[in-house]
Amino acid sequence: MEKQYQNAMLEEIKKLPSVMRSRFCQLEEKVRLFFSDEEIFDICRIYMIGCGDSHMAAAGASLAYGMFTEKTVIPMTALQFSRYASDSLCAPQKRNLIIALSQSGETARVIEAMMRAAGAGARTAAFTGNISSRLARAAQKTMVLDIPVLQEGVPGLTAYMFQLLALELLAVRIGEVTGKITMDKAGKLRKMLSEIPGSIEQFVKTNEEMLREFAAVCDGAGCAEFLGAGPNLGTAKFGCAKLIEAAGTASVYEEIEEFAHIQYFEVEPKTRPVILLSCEKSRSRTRILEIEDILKKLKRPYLKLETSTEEWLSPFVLSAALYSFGAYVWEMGEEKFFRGHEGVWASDGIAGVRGGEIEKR
Amino acid sequence: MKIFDIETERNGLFEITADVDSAVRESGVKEGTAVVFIPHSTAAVTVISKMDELGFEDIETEISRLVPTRIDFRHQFDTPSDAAGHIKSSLIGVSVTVIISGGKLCMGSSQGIFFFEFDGPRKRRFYVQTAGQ
Repeated sequence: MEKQYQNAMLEEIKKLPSVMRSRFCQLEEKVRLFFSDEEIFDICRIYMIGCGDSHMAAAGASLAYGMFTEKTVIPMTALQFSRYASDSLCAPQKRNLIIALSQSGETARVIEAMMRAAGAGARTAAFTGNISSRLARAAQKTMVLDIPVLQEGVPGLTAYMFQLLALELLAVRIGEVTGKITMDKAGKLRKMLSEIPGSIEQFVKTNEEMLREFAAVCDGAGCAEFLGAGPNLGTAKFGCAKLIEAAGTASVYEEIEEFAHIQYFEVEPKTRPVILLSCEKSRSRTRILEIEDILKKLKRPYLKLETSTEEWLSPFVLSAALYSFGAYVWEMGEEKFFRGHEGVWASDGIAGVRGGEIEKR
Repeated sequence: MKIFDIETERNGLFEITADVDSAVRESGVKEGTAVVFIPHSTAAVTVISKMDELGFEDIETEISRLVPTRIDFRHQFDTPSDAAGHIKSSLIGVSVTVIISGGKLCMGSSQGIFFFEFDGPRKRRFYVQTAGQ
């Protein structure tokens, strides 16, 4: 059977670094000037709201806020914020900033969260690619993320990467303006972010063979588990999502510590491949190594995907590698991306992602 | 011309008299002038009394009182500290000229040349150029 989107995911990842390079300065300036100094000083707490890839980007960026700012930053799914958190914001409510992420700007739950945040008296900002979207209209401020579509119909990568980049640049900016980090330090951090495209290219290339081999293991097993910690819990979720979206492979993600409490007890460990996300400079480094020992004892097939980059930057390279992993598994099967949006997977509303009912308070 | 690098670990005054003096001696100029210039927009150079360190604090405090770091400066591309630093720098100035006579800086015994940092810590530099014979 001929595949509908031959190598489209690999094409996407191949094109990504040059697009990130060419748009970095423009995005940096946009982020730099988005919030006034007064707004930045006034904000006490930031909720970063999203669904799917957008939520994963927020989770991946959260460490940078802990390192470079003195703001409390909480990545949260749109449903969790909207239905469970929006009515209990710390007073004064206007000192809470809600950043809602949705590239389409039409994700129902994110729009709902934004409406409830505004209703609660919080500051609201939308990061979206669609200035005329319902999300943009619901927000007090909108940052338009001008992200090109590199490949049509493939599992998302580019928008996620740009959201991650924008959020990390914002962390640097907040830290710089509030004096948590110096301008020199901020300049160095921005330079590190500008060099991420090269790191992505190198990391994906270096790990290609290993990822292809392990893709065959997962394809054979028909499942995969992704383990991560800190910012890379979001990365683990991203890897899980891409594998499901691309190949339809049953996948789960888990934090490394929770794995020891839950999946550790699965009855057939030899049939459960694991991808363990690792970073040499991770705050969870010792626990990652302990979990690796556990995987060995369980005789679980596993791949330790490790980067030497700084932990706050590691979601970029690890996510890119996991995206290529999803593409490799997909190549081994006969599935269409997103099951072709056919049958029960028909895209009219995508399980209500866009068309779901918005519950105003 | 002699170039000096300096790392300011904080805002405030850093004495550079000895560096300027060494540049003058190296230049061989006996009668003339030495210009100290800093190529920065959030720092300054000045001549003040070096006799009492509390005097440094007075100057730093008064400059900050005159130009407090605020969040409503129009220049917001960088930081509030940077915006205030531009104003402080322009008030104090980015160069001083000292007369050289007998191969030495003509300065009073209580005077010193100071690099004034308004947006530290930063990696900075200053130039010393002599003229004369």
